[in-house]
Amino acid sequence: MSQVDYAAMTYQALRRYFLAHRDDSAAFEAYLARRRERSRVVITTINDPDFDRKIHASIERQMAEYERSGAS
Amino acid sequence: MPTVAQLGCLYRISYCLTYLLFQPILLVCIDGRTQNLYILAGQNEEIEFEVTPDGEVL
Repeated sequence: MSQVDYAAMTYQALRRYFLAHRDDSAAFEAYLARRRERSRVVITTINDPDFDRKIHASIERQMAEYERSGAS
Repeated sequence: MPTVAQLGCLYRISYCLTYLLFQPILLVCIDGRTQNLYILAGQNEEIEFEVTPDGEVL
């Protein structure tokens, strides 16, 4: 398993790879490390009265981004 | 183990994903490095959230 070159994979490909290889914990670690390098905005916090609406909007945004990217 | 704040967020995110939007949840775990709760979901594995120990959703 350690022969796999995670660095050569795109972000999405690495995500697909770790989902298909759940026993490969190094792949998941590599994915999380890649994710930490990306800037992630705070969507909401637990005490936000608008929590549910912001989560709903974020889910729809992520689904729309996937559609826009023309993913397979 | 997740914090109480993380569990509260997890419930509400799970409710929205599964009950309101009919999206499957594929993976829930703690990132051992940051202690953030990680959620991967969606028909196409395209939805992700992280919840910090004090309840910030990223």
